[in-house]
Amino acid sequence: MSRTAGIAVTVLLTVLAAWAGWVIATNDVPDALPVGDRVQAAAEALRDSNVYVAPDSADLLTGDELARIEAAASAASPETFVMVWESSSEGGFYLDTEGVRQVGAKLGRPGYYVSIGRDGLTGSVSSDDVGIDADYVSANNFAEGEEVTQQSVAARLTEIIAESDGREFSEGSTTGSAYWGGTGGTIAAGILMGVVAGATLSAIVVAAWFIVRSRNRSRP
Amino acid sequence: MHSLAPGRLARFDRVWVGQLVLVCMIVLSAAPAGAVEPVGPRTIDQLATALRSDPIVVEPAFGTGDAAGVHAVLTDLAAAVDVPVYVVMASIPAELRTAEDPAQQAATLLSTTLGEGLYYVQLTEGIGWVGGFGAARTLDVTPGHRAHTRAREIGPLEYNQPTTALEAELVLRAAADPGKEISDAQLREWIDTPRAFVPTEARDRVDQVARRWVFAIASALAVLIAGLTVVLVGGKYPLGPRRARRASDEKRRAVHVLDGTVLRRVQRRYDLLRAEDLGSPHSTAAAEALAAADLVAETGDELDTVGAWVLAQQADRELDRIRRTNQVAYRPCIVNPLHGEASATVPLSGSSIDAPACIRCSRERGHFLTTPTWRGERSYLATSTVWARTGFGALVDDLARQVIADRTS
Repeated sequence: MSRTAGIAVTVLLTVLAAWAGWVIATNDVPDALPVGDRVQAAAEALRDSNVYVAPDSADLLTGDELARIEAAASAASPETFVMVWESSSEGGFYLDTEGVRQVGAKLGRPGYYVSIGRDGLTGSVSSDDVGIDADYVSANNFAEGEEVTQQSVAARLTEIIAESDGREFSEGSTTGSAYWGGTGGTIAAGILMGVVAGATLSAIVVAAWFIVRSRNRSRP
Repeated sequence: MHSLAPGRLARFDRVWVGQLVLVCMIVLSAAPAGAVEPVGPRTIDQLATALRSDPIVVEPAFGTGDAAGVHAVLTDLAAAVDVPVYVVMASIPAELRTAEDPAQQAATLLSTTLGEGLYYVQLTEGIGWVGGFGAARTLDVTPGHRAHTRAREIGPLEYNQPTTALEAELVLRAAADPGKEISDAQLREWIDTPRAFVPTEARDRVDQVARRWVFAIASALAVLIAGLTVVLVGGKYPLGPRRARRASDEKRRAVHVLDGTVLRRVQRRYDLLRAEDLGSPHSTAAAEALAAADLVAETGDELDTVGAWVLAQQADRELDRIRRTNQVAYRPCIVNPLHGEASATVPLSGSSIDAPACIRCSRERGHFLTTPTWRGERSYLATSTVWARTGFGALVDDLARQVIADRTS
């Protein structure tokens, strides 16, 4: 087999391997959750605003405080979007972070998404970047025993928005996978695993090659 | 989680008066606020007002993404129950935040305003409560609870967490048909809906989506590296022709031919010798070769079979030589006796003398006859047989004698 033919076969096998890897891994990907009513309502409200206050939390952000947070969120860089809603695992998504991502995906406005609200007797805060690649920031939750009131929500949000404001970021799709470490981490993991597996595979194939070769030659 | 035991309900009746006082206090304290827009968690009073116009309250936090859908299902099911049904799935009212059992308290307080009926209450804090007041007191909805517990076991997910919406649904179904157990088959049908379970698997979806890229990149890169390595190595160190295969094909063909007919033909030819020829040294040599061939012809060993054939050729040649004195003794090709008679020579490594070989092997040395050994196919010269020592007669003049000595010792 000529070198050109060998390279051609290699390229063909490479494409097949990529396809096979993709298909095998796809089997483990759960179906995307349908967008539920809460996400729908939040995404609609955030189309021309930066803060959405759900009816179940309407007492938590009103008047001047709401206007102040709205202004801060809209001026922040990356732009920040806030959902004030009751934390729940039965509202169409298990974790609030998932709800936050769904709202971001539905809305299509890249930025920093924050959800805040009551969680039974306590409070809950979740956040994630959607459609941007930026250094990770963690939104601080309510302090232990801190009451969820208009004052504490406004104070918490002011702090969260300020913490994210001024981050360097680039717009664009990100895998958003904290496990793999974003887009760069995902590619790096693929390359690292590929090189290790490729080296191992090469060693095995070359060893087999020379065994066959020596057998052929030992029997002239 | 929920109790419908009569004892429990009896306890209710006892605390009834106390609850009434509490309700009055709440109503009085809420009254000065007037008719404000309901913002945030509703008070018991506001819930009662809402329930009066619509006995099913499902807030989005319990809606499993479709609060209106859950509301519609529960409304339909409630219509099939004989007693009034009230369902509350809502944020915990502010006045119950410090209560010990808020759902139970809420149900009791609501019943004072709304009257008798079956109450299903689940708030965002505390365990849920279901029970009846008035005529509904004796309603047995425990099959609904049992089905809810069972749903955890037979659900479709790896970790099934049945929703409040499912529980309310099953309780109302049980209430429509009091005391009747719900079969697994029936339950399976009812839980085959997205609202039945908390969607736990969505938690790692982004990781799994990213994992596809990792898998695709890794497998492609691995195959690319291995493939290019083979192309590079293979270009420099070719595998060479698949000699083993060709050699064993040749042998198989030859062994098929060597089924003993040659030996029988030569034997017959010897038997028909005239008496005067029997004194010839050639006829003696032929007899010796045939005797040796007889010793090895039936052993089943591949090399022996080839040896028998060579000995038959030698005997045949000796019979020729009785008359044709110019003929030489038969010597096989050292490389492979099946190549036929040697008419040239070939240099052998490790030896100063050239060995007899067929004309083709003298030009380009062919492949040595091989035989299977425990180490795989090996050249017959590498074995410790009489054939290796004699080269099937290519290296010695007395093959027959050596074979007889080898086999009779």
